[in-house]
Amino acid sequence: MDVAKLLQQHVDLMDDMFKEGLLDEQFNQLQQLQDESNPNFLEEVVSLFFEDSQRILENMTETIGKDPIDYKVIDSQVHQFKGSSSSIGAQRVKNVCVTFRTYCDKEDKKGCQDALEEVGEEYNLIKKKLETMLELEKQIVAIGGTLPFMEGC
Amino acid sequence: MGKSYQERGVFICDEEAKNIYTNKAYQEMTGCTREELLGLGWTSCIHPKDLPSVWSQALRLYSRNSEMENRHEIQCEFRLMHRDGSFIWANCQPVDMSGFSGVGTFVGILEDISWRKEAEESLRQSEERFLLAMQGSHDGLWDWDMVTNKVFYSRRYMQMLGMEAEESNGNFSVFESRIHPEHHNAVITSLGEYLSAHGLDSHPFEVETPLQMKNGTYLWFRMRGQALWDRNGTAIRMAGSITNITERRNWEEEQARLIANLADARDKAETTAKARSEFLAVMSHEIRTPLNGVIGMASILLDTASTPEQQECLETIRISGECLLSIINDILDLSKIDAGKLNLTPVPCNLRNLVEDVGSLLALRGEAEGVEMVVHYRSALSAVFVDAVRLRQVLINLVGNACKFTHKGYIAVDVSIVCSTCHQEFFLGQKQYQKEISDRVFFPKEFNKSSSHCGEEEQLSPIQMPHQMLQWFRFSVIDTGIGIPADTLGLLFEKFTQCSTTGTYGGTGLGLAVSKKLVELMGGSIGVESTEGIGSKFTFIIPLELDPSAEQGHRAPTNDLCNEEAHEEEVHSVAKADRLPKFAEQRRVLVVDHHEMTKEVVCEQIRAWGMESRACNNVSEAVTILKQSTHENEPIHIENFGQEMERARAELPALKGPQLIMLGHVGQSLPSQPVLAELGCCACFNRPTRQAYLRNALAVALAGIPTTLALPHCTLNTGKLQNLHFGPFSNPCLLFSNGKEAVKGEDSPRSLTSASQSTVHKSRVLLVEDNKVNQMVAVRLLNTLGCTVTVACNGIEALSILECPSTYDIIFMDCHMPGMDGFETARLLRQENHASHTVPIVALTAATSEGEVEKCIASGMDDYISKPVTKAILQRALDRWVGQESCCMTAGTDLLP
Repeated sequence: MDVAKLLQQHVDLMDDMFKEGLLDEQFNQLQQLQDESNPNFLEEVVSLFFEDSQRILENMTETIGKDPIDYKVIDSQVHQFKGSSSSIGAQRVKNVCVTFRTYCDKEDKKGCQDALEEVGEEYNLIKKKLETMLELEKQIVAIGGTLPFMEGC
Repeated sequence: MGKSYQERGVFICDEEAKNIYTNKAYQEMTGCTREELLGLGWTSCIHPKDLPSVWSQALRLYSRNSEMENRHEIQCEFRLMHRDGSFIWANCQPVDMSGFSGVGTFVGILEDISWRKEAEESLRQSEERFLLAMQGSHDGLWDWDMVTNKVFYSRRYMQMLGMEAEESNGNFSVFESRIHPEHHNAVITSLGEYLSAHGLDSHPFEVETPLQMKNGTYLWFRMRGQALWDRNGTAIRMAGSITNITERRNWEEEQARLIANLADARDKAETTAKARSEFLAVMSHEIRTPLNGVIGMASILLDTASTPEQQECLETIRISGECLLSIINDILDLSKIDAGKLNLTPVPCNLRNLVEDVGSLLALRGEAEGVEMVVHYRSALSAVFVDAVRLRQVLINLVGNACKFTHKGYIAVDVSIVCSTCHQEFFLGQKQYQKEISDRVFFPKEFNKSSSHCGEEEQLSPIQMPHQMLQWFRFSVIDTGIGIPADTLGLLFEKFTQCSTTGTYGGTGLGLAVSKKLVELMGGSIGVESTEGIGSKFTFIIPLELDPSAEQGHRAPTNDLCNEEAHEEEVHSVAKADRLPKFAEQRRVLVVDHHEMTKEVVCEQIRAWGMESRACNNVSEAVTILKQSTHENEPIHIENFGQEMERARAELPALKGPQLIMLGHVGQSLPSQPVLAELGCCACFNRPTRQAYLRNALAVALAGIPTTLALPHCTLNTGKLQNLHFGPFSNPCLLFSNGKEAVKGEDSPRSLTSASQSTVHKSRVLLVEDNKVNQMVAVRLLNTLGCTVTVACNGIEALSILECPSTYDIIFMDCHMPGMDGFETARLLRQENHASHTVPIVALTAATSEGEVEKCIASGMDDYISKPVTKAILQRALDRWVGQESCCMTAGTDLLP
């Protein structure tokens, strides 16, 4: 595969993610933060996000599974998730978290269960796309290409 | 009826009913003599009105004569007239003597019964009154004989309930049957309780109940009564009244309904206001986030843009974005104030630093056009309680405006204390503007002679002794800008008016409206004077409480600099303190600067410290003065700058003597220490002059340390002189300032501006954040901004890290963390004995909702930024809270070996 093709794939993937609202401009900012001195910043932060999210999702599933549900605990877990997803620019995950918290407020069990499912789906979606993105970037760099957002750095 | 008669009057009549005998008592009763009465009819002395009834009785007496045995018992009563017109009531007992011839036919015995008549009359009147009252009263009366269970109901009672006449002498069930079924039990129970309580002392029985009317409807009545009990405690009688209270009940119900409606309306309004406030908070957040993206990206692109055209476009994008952002912030503030949601949080604050900060912050804006920025803080008092964030906002707004509209000359920020009576007359008189500028605002001549800071203030002190803790401060922002037309002056503080310059200068004019509201919120007032083409002067006054716990920095002018130094920096060098006072008074400072305002302020400050000060405009003038003074063997200190400094050094053989302090231009990187030493300068700092910088620089100069050794950290701007080793003084010193033209060759205005945009903060930052992802992003962002970052995962960790004093320039604090949250951490940090209690704290908050921000400020944090953080947001926070000093420090630390 030549660099141009990979780059085109990368551009298309990014375009898709922004178009579908999976990401917002916060992610742009993260890309800007990657430079020669921190060539793997994006990967590091995204991996950390995966790790963190995995843990939070497990905790949330556990909390929701209990009867009765401790809505304070679930609320603070959602708050955490909202924080990290908005930090990384995963805005659809963030948006579901916002709704999720209103269900916590209302102590709406059904709402919480649905929201948990939805937030898991959204997370898996963005996770898959970001993994693809990172894989593409690795390939690009491996064959000597420059990532679009790092040009001029 | 004045007289009363004990004796009975007796008269005897003949067949013709004429008196044939009267006794003495009768004569006295009628006031006639015996002779006069003889032959008169016995009825002649009877009151004419009573005659008919007397006659009718007499006739009856005669007609019954035959059949009635006990006719002597018949009596009649009439008024017996006295001849003087008075009368008595008399009872006449006739005795028929017709059977006894010769004696007369009729004997009458009269008894005076006036007393009885009077009693009867008064009884009748009383009954009449009672009846009238009963009939006239709106209350219905009832009287219940409980032994017979008969109840008397008054006419009014019956009328009120629409009762039929036959019910008028009913029993208790007449009443009972009319009680509303829902209230029946309650009424009967409470009546039973009342009756069994049997005490006359007890309160009368009282109950409110609906009673049924004749037509079946119910009206509300209040029933009151009092019972009588016999010796055995059995109730035997009870009487009382009923009052129609339907109207009152209706009114009460209406009232309750209205109150409920009002409460409902209030709740709705509150919900609406809250919704609006939340909407605005959310919206502003939603608008701000992408806007920050635009501004941030524009800034980044600006650094990499290759052609001037691109740069210009990007600069326009950036400026437009900034402008839009400030408008959004203004709108948010206005709506907050309008909703009464903006609360001031006064905190201990050094007012001088605050004002000088604003001056330093905005000096760069004018510098490009050669506009001079001067802060003239006249008051000796500076430790106050004030909402620093809001006061800074007002000042930045006014000074920012001045920058926008001033293209030549100067901008001066003048702070002084006004007396409590003066502030009331504050804006009553429009003094002539020109006179203001020349006489009052700008360092009057007499100022130079006076050793005190402010004559006004000095006069006040004795008067204000009782209220000394509250002082009115006047803040004036004076510029020599384009001015404001007289006809639009009045509209200036209204929302959305900007005096038709909007086209040229942009902006909505909301800033002044916000400033006005903020000043008013602080209990002050704001006004403006302006002359088109000459300049404007915005002045506001606010009352501020002095901080009794803080050092006010009021020093006698003869105090030496290094004592102050020791005080402020908490450096206790006995040797220094001992030595320096001796020569402080001998010192002379020559200020060389072509900026009129700066020259004046610096000279004045130096004089205030008890030293002599002269000013001149350029090096050649300085040379002349120095030659004369060395000739006279007088030590002189001069401030000046730069390339010119080299020339000065070359031209001045005498300069071996004086110490030189370099005054750099606004925003300039200060020269490295070797360069400074080569120039022969012992210290340097940038305009606009700050009192602390000047004092520190002079302290070094006066200590007379050889420059190369004196300044291991040549970063006077940080104000830290702890590391200085004061050797024995030898040389006098010299202060020089740079001229604008001196730098024109090397620094274009453009590069100055962009230098300020990409200010590199080598600040030490403590980030308190529990979210790992957020940590990583924020750390990286702060690193790209040049900061060194330490991370604490929660409040407890942060507190232990902050045990060591002032290791950090700024703290970014997440609000919600497990363990100890940001609010609690800030509260603990702000306790005065905490080692790091002065470090600025900026909250990181996910929501810009009303309560959250208030909580941040209330817990002692200085500012807040909304998450997710971006480079632009962090940069602004750093600019605001670490600001220029850190830039200067950058220059300094770069020079370290």
